[in-house]
Parts: sequence; C-alpha cells; structure tokens
Amino acid sequence: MILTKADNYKKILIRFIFSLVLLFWIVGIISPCISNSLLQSSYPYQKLLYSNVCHQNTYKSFTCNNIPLLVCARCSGIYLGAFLISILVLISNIKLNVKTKYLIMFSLPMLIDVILLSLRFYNCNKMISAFTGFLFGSVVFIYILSGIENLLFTKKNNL
Amino acid sequence: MTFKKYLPTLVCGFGAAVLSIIPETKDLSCCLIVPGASTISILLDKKINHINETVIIKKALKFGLLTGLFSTLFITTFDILITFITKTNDLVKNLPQIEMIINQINIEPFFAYYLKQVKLSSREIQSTGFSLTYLAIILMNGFIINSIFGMIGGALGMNLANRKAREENTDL
Repeated sequence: MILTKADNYKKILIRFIFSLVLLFWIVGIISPCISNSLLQSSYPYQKLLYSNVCHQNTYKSFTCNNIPLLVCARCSGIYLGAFLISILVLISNIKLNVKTKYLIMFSLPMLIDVILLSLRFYNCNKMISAFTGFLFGSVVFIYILSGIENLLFTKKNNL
Repeated sequence: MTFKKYLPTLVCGFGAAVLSIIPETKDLSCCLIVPGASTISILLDKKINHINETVIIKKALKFGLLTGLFSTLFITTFDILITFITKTNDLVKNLPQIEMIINQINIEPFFAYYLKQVKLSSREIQSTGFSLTYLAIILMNGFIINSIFGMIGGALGMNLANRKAREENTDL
C-alpha cells in the first residue's frame, strides 16, 4: 500500500482526531485530580454521564484527592491504553495492520481476569484490572484504526 | 424490507439493554456492552443475510449508531420501570456521596443549579417513583454516549467481518 502525500496527511489527521477525542475523554475521567473549579464542580454531571459506560463501583475505582475517578480501574486502563497507543501511533506514523489473533491474544488476560473474579478465585485487584484493561484498550484501538485506514486507503489505491 | 434490514440492531440493542440492567453483568462487562452489541449486530447481519461482500465504514457506523440508539431506548424504558417499582435507583443511592464530594469544593453557579435539579429529581423519585428531569438526563446522556460507543463497536464489527480479506496482505 503506497500512499500519496494527500492520503498521508489524511491518515495523520484521522489519527490526530482520534487522539484528541481520547484526550478529551481521559481528562473527564481524571478531572477529580485536576484543581480547576469548573472541572471539579462538573463532577455530578460527569458522574451521570460516565455512568452510561461504567458501573462506577468506588471499591473498584482509583481515587484522587479522596475522590473516586469517574470510571472503574478496568475502564481507566482501557481508555488509558487506547490514548497512549494513539499518541504513539500518531508520533511514529507507522503503517498499521493487525491480525485478529493479536486482538484475541491481548484480550485474553482481561477475559481471564473477569472470569476468575466472577468465580471468586481472588478479590478485585485494581492494578490487575487496570493492566489487563490497558492491554485490551491498546490492541482494540490499533485493530479498529488499522481496519479503518486499510479500508479507506487500500480501496482508494485499488481504484 | 427496511425493518428486516435493521432487525439485528434492534435485537442486539435489546440484548445490550437487558445486560445493562442486571447488576452482575454490568459490573463485569462495564463499557463493553453497547460496543459488543454493535459488533454482534454487524456479524449477525452478515450471517443471516448471507452477505459475502466487504462491510463498508458507512454501513458499520450506521449499524453501530442504530444499535446505540435502540439500546438507549430500551435501557431508559427498563430503568424508568424499575425506578417506578422500587422508588430508588443509582442516582438516589449515589447522591449523598456526590454531595459529600461537592461540599469540599467551590461549585460554579451553573453546576450548583444542575445539582439542585438532581436533588429535586432524587426527592421526586423517592416519593413518586418518577422524575421527568431524570428521564431527560438519562435519555440525553444515553443518546450521546451509546451512539458514540455503538459506532466504535460498529467499526470493530466491520474489521472482524472483513478480517479474511484484510489479513491477506497483513505483515503483523
């Protein structure tokens, strides 16, 4: 797949938009850590907004300034993984093409953690949840992005 | 004909809503319910309609968006029904904790007004089991968030549906 200069700029723009959206989302999650009155006073609104995507169990969430973050440790890991990998992909500007087997491989730790937790093999460990979520978030982001780029630019090149 | 075309999104949206109201499954699958439903709707559509052609982005996003919208409608319906019967919900349960946190900071006027409305809504729920403000809040939030997450799931579903064609030229 050889990209023209315009396609390359388009690819960078897509990656930049993804990173920006994820940054916006992450800032919302870690808003209890940021000493900004507007961000902090929007806590009740954000709590309801993020409740759509997470159970927000305080026992399973990281805390900052004695305030629980807006999503649980696993979700925090997923979003952080996706955000960090999006920055890495944006900076390196590499060609992405990830096979489904890698998606499964990197998702397995999270699946195993969820199964073992539900079978009560061990108590919830925030660090394990965050780490397995981090792996899942990173690989899902690359997988989706590579699919979109592949479809957008390969099709164009084949025409 | 059009209804049949989008039936997978309706079915998966309903499935996502059912999983979202069961506390145990919501606890375990968190943010993956709606994207998962969208992914399954794409794969289901491919399976039941015997489609062999490549799934395009436009279709994936449309399916994701519809699954997100249907799931929001069902989730809201279930939530309102359960709240009406039990006269309590997550908002009522979490409000004391939110108030405790908010008391530690100087709240901006707009959000002070918002918090006041939420408190009123919580009182209404405890007395009558229904609050129009609460309905408006969960519908609006649900439409925004579930649509976005649905579209993310749609993009994932598109990749999985196209994986054979895609992986022919894969290096990784």
